[in-house]
Amino acid sequence: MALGGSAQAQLFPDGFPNPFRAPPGKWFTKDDVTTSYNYCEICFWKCGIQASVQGGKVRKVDGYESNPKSRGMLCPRGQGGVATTYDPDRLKKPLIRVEGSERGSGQYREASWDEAYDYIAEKMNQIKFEHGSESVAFFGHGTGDAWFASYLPGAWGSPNAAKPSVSLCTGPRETASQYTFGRGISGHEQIDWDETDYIVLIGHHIGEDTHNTQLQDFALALKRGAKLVVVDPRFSVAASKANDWLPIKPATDTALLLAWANVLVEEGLYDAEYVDKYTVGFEQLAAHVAQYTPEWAAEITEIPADTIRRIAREMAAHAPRAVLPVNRHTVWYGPDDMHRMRSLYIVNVLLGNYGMPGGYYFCDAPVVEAYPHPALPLSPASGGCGGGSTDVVTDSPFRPAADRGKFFGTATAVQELIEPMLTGEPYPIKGLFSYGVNLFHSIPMVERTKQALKELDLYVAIDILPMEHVMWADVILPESTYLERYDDLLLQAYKTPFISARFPAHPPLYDTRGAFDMAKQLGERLGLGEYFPWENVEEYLDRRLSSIGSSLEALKDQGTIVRRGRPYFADWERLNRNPIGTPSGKIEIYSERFAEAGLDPLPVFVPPIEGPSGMYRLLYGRSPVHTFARTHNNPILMEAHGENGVWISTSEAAGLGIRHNEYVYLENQDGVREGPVRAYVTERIRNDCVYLVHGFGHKTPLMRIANGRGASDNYLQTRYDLDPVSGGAGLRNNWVKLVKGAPDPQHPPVAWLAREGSRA
Amino acid sequence: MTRLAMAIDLASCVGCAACSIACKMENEVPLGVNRLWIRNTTVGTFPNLTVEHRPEQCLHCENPPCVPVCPTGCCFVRDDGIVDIDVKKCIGCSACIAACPYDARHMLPQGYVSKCDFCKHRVDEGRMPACVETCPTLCRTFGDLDDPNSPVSIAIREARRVDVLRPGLGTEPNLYYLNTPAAFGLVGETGGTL
Amino acid sequence: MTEFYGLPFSVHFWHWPTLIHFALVALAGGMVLVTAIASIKGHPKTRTYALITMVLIVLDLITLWVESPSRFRFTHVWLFLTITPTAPIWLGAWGLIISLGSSFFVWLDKGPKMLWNAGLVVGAALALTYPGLALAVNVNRPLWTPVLLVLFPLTGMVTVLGLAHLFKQAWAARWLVTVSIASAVMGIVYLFALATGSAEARQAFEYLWSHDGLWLSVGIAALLVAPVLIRRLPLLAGLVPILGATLVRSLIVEAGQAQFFGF
Ligand code: SF4
Ligand code: SF4
Ligand code: SF4
Repeated sequence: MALGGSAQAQLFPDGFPNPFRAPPGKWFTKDDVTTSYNYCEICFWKCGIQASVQGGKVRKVDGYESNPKSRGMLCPRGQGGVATTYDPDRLKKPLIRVEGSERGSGQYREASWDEAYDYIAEKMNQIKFEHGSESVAFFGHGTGDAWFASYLPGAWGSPNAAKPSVSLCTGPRETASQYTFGRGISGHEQIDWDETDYIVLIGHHIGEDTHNTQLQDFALALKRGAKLVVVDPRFSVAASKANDWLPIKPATDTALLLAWANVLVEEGLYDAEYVDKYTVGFEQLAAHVAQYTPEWAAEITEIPADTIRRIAREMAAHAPRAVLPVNRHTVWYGPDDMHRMRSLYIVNVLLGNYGMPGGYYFCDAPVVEAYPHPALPLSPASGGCGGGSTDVVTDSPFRPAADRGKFFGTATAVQELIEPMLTGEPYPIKGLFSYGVNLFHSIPMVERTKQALKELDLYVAIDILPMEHVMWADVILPESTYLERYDDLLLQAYKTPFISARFPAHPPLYDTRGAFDMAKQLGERLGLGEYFPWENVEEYLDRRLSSIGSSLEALKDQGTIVRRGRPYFADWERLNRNPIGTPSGKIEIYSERFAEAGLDPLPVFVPPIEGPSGMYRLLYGRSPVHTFARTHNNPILMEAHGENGVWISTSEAAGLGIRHNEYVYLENQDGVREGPVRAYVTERIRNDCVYLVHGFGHKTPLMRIANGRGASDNYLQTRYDLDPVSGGAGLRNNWVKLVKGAPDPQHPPVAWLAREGSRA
Repeated sequence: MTRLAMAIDLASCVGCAACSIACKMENEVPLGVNRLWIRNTTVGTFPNLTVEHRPEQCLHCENPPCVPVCPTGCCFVRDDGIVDIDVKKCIGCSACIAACPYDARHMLPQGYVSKCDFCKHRVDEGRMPACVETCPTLCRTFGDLDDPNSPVSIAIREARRVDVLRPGLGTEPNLYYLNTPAAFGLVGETGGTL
Repeated sequence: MTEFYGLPFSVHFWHWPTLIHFALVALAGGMVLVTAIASIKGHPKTRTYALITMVLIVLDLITLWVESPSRFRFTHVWLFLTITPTAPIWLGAWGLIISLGSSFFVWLDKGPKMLWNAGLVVGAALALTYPGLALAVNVNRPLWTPVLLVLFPLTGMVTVLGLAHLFKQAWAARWLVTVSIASAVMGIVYLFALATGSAEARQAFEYLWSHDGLWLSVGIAALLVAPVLIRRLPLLAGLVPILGATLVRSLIVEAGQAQFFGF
């Protein structure tokens, strides 16, 4: 009722006000306000920002017009993410695990950077001596992963560099794209929102994913009058904007897509001219999809055949300005995933929209020369959400990555490097760097990960906050935040490719460093100094920028340099070039390469893996105000959304006798329990699944605000199903039941915790 | 005359709270209170559903009930229509908090009342309020109602439907909600069905 | 179903010190009226009443100062430097000050008596009505209805008359009975008007009744104790209505802070 939440509003973090002082003037009334350009690092979208500094502190960040990713706007996380820099719970000094203490027991002593680097170098050399350089694995996420998941392992000589953003996220879509178009999807999904008239989203949570520019484009497209269809077992925020919501049975999306292909082909609605000009394998497809009638799909997907037909016809009527946008997190159900993404691309191709206005545009990163350095002995296939997942290591003196042979693709799968730590097969992995990767909130089978960490000879964690997995490391290197450090240039593939730079708004608050410095220092200690020939980061950046006739000084006043792009086929044809990078030079609807490898050359429907009866399939997604599991100690963002709830349909909840907002436990098929977590009883979800927002359920008192709030989906993911093509780990084949009787954890107000934190 | 007003197109708003958090940072709103918050309400039953994502803040009423009840004159209306607070006169009696039909006002720990002021420091410099500037769905417009070419005038003119909160109270808000997702208008005191 | 990112300030803005103020201002306001009548009629105890009035007003002002979150910024000076007659609190502030001054001179027994009497009458009118007015002006809060414009002065008088009766003021009994009955009747009218009013009023009534129904009934019943017991148990007959009136006032102030908007 109206009087609820009083405790929340009555506690103030500022302590008792000084009664004699007049209301203080706000930051913008002071005269020492300065601004500096940066790009946001709260998520991977990396919007250009301008930080306003006053009194040695960033008070506000704003987007700026000339940056194509922010265009002057920012999402909630970008706005509030600033508070993480001033989080009293941050890692403040290098830490070394007390000798003789067990991993995970959290006993540390402060160390100097020199000591920490020496410690790491010594252990690495020892591992190299005993097992070979490949036995050190490198996991990375964030801007600095260029150093820790590509460059340093390349210089050091380990192919076991991996990013969760591939095999736990974009893997299927990247592999599918590489083998269909011969190019990846860019880190910025290249949907031509400005021109499209008909949008079909498949489990794509725009609005809950607040990827700034994507959300802007989406909203503007709808405002322009584009029609929207949303396919999702849950009535997502995007669904609330849709003309049609198709509450599909989970894990059956491929059947729907194949049926759409069937209708487009059977009814002759596809773009014959486009297909003829740009593709190969249409005949095989036509024969193949004949079996996938809407009636067949209706049985599987629980969407009426008439609806399937109608939507296909509407798409065709708007083609080529009808698009089925590719989403980002595509590791859903395992064996099916790559096929689902291929089916999605093929429906787009049948609509004739790839490389056409209103469909998918082409984009490439702007070219800025690398700082001259000796060739690296190895180029690890860590991939990334911006493509590049087919890097192949040839003629390498090193052993192949430890996950080779488990699946067809070549980008290293992060979750497949855990097993070798435990079994030593195909060869042991004895060392691990985790740069910004939350090992316990991104990789499934957390218990297995913990066991594996115990087997290591060296585990180094580089992070900003004392996340749970960080406090298992032998050496913890505290990183400066994006507001305190320089970083490499951001070379963004985009409709108008652009270059932006990061300038520290103020010096680091604590004894922390950026990835750039850490990699160089460590490299030098490892005897790899020749690969790090630059003096410092300013000189490095300036030299790179000079190759395009700019300079660090110039970028300081400019923030972003925008280039012209070649978005459509017509732009490439004018230059007599072909953007399609497949062996045939055409869009490969039918993949010879898959056929040769004994894989299905055309997408097939793999029936869903079913769970134990009486349990619900666990789906997960995002909160608009949080990124991954990394913003949950930020008081501003946590106050906006401080705990997740498990979505369950009204009718199922009634059957279970569960009331809205009541605390329950979640117990999965293997008996793993999470919670207490609130039941979010809603009409907005099907009866056969439940839904959790990812990232909550932290389990470390070192992060005062995050600790113990809500439930973690990742801890409940005690199994996954490997996509045999991309190496992606299908995470949505876990099932849970709701157990009544959980106590109310009585979380103290965020404001109160924040005040405690700043006093400590 | 200038009559400043804001409009929020609910057909575009996704309830992401970027506006709320931008406001918090810009105006140093302490933890525990908000000048701007988001109320997301589900309407209907499976599968006939919609969600109203509704940001709420001070509506800068034309006829603000909070102003006449202020005993010290610290609540006043600027010439451009911004309902403002002269904090040095505030005695913290909470009469204005009681009078606001929208829970838009809050007490600060320093002992005076605060609320959305349309980011008057930005408006005075010719900039957009922080919430309007940042909104990633561009659903917020702001400007002078007396200028037919201001973004807000255009947005209101082009809207399919225009609503205000609690119209029955005669407050005549200068914050307009455009294109409510539910056919019956804004989700109100008594709710409604699709 | 509704969920929030960030919360509105839909919480209690007035807390227990405000309830004390509402009780004290009832006594003070009532006492001003008693003093006014006594002074006009030339009652022998007029000076004593004036003294009590001053004590009560000062106590109330101290309470107001203590509960104010800006007590050390001394911004209260603006109450008297600005002219805001639309604000019940401004009217109340002047009402109390005028009453204080007039009582002072009545107590001194100096100066133009007519003027002090007029001051006392005006002051009494303001001090007795402004609490109800301060609530009733908030048409957005459905539990604070115009009925309070009558109910609050009446219950205020009940507390003073009860006190007078306790201190064996002969004139008090008759009035205590009358005003108590009138208060109880207005209390019932208040509830009845809510329960049969608009949809919002009915929703508010349900809220009030489910939260405070019992105590509200007790309070109204207590107002009816005086007429029954005034001869047999004069002590209880004085005390119980005071408690009843204070209870009814406090419950309305406390519960009435709810507004039923958007739920
Ligand atoms: S930022 Fe815009 S889209 Fe997000 S909640 Fe605010 S008004 Fe709505
Ligand atoms: S919304 Fe509330 S605070 Fe704002 S002008 Fe209206 S009554 Fe006053
Ligand atoms: S106009 Fe400014 S103060 Fe008002 S809600 Fe928007 S950001 Fe906050």
